[in-house]
Amino acid sequence: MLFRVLWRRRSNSHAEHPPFEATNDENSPKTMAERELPTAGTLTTPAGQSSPLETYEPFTLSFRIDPYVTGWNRGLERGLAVDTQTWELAAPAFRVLALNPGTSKIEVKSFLFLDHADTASAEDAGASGSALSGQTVRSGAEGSVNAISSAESRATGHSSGPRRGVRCDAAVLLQRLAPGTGHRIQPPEDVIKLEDRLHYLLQPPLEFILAERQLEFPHTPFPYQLEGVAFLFPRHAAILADEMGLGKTMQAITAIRLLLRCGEVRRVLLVCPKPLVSNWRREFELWAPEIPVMVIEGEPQRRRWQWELTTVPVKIANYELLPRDQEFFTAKDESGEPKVSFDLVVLDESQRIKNRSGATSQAVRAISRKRSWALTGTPVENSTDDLVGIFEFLSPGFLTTDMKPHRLGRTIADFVLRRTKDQVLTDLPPKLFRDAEIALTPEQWKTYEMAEKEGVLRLSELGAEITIQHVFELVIRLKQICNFDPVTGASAKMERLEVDLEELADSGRKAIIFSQWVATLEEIGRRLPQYRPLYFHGRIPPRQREEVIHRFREDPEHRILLMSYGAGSVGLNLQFVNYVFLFDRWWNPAVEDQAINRAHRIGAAGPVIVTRFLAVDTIEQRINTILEQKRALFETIFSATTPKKLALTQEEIFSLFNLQAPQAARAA
Amino acid sequence: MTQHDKVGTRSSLRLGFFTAVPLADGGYVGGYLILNGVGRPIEFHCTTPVRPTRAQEILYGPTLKPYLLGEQMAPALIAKAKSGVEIVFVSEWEALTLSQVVEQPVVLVVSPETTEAVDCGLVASAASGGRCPSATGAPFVGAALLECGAIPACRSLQIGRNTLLIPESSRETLTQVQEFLSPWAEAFDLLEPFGRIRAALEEALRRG
Repeated sequence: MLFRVLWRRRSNSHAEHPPFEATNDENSPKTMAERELPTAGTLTTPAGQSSPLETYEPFTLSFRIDPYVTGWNRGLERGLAVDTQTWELAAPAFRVLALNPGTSKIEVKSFLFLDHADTASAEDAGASGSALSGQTVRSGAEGSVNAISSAESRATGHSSGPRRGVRCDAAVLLQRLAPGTGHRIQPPEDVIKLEDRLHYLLQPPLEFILAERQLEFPHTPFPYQLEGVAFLFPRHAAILADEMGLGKTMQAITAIRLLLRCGEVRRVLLVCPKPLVSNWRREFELWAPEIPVMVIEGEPQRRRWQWELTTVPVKIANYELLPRDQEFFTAKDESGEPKVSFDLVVLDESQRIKNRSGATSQAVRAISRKRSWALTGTPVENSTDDLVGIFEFLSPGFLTTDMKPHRLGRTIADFVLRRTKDQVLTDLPPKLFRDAEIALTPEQWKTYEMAEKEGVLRLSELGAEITIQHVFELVIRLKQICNFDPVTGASAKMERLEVDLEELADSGRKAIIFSQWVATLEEIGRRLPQYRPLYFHGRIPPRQREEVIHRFREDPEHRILLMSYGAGSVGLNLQFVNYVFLFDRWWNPAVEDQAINRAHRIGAAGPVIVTRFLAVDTIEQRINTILEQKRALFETIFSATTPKKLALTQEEIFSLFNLQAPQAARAA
Repeated sequence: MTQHDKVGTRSSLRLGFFTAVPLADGGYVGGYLILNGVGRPIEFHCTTPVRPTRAQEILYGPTLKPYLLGEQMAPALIAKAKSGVEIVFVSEWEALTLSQVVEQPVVLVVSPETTEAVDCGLVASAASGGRCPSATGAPFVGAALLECGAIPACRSLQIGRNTLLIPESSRETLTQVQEFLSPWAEAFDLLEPFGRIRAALEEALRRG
């Protein structure tokens, strides 16, 4: 029961308040009681004046209660029973907990490296030191480095060496770098020791190294090209497998240049197809004018001397030469050491050694070397065996032919760098394909049908004697009829080509026409004299080929270049051409791609339009169907790095005529 | 006497870089890289993982990282170095405590990660007398440390593309740093070597 008691206040100036009221909880029963309140005093203000408002008077407050008559109410009148207990308070026990933060035990691992600044100054003075390996190069290197230094003086003296356009100082690359960025040289997976791996990781970015070496370039390298250089630089075994036109040559030369300048290598051998020797020499003059280059050529006696010469940092040899010169570069000295050895051997178009049992492959593998690099746009032309063949040069025994593609892909991942134009050259003009499906002329068709029927009949008659060569002969004969009717000379493709050429002639553009046969090229040229055709095929002597390209590039009268796939598929730069015609189709899409990429590469002036002629309802169409499937497969392989067969298999060739490949042919 | 004569040739220049990488399970691993004047590595020292004890975590509180980096790890690494360096660069403001431990000038290279700390008060202003100024008014985690002097207040210095913070305690340091670096200002990206150290530390951790 809650009571609120209010005082009654008397005021002189106000009417008397009503008696004080006592209230309780509204829901409680009302009670009455009497209680005397204390006498109220009078409050006095500090000034001694009474405050009329603060005067109180006593009054009696009565409560009425109406108790129920129950026994327990009596109990309320009894006194309380009080019991006491006593506790002794224990003295508080204080405990001190000592918490020692201690000092952390710091273990330190240390790695010391050669002071490169010392070697740099030594190198400037004509000696050489190895910046990365920490080894001092033997005195035999002096000639090489001196040669580089003197050639460099010439190059920087602006008196010699090619100077095309504005050269790019490597310092510019450095200035363009965002803080904390750059292309780093990553250690390859086969570098095991932590110290060696850290040594690579702790090197400055490539841009810094190039700038520090004050290297110049004919034009600013693309970032992906620097990435390629950073990939090659530390590797003892590597495949640079960029798509054609991305500048594998420049990347390889820059990496070689850097290795030579750092004293990492002293003798480099570059091997390429014979037609490309002059191209490589030119590219070295362009990208590394300070590096002396020697081409191994001439009489055997001279070549022997060239092989054994140790003072030239870069030598260029062609594949055709190697089997003949094997005795020169495998000769041993009195101590049993090879007389000729290289710090680095680079194979351009390395698909040339895909056949492991071939003489070229064996000769290449016999070269004494420390590092092995392979450059190719088509590391797999036909099958995974191609890759195994290349790796026999890079790292013998590393791959085996029985490896499954997936495992192969994983195994080679750290050794191969492949980029496509789509990935890295987003600014490159497009490559547009036009498939010109052409119906043979009636004369051609008549000849074709007859040849096919007779050919298939003859193949059937051969029975178990049939070989892949028999089928090939028929395929070639039919494809040639698709180009020109041997009886009447009629050619639906030629008619179409003439129309197309008329169109592009008006625009002043130039075109390359590819065929796999020289005879076909000559026939085309004979019928197009108005375009002043030039020829570039296997029968053109190598020394004349450069002149042919020069005339085609410079002389506006020469509007078309007739090229064979074999001669024109590798190492040529024809980016001033906007039109490519594939008069007939090659067996392997990779070779066709190489041919097309002569024109579609860095520096291409505009879109490259590729017209692929295809005679409908003929052997060409059947081959094309299979090749398209393989091309799609190849693209799949790129992403997974799992090469598979690309060119036509024997079974596929037989299937072109609905023939079963016999056991003998399969075994072959 | 040219500037170059005074500070020696570029090839004889030695610069130290210290940074620490946090570990996923707590603690840090630290690396100290000495470069020559052309940016090539001369020495690299790294710690094994350093994990603070619970007692250290409790007792050091917010000063734990400055303590570990600047007073424990960096001095231990520097002590192992064979080459003396002209300047020690650090990438984290907490490591500035090193300046109270070693004789060499210790300089913070400002990166996007440390900009906030710098903006929020690491740089001393004349008005505040170096006592926890806060230009933006935003809370700065190191404010209390600055107040109590655990982290030195700094002065800012721009050399080439690099923004540097130099502890204010030593007026000589500022002059020293300017003298050493000005001739090569354009050539150095002083943030770049920290990337190398981090890559090397990650590699060292990966390889055990």
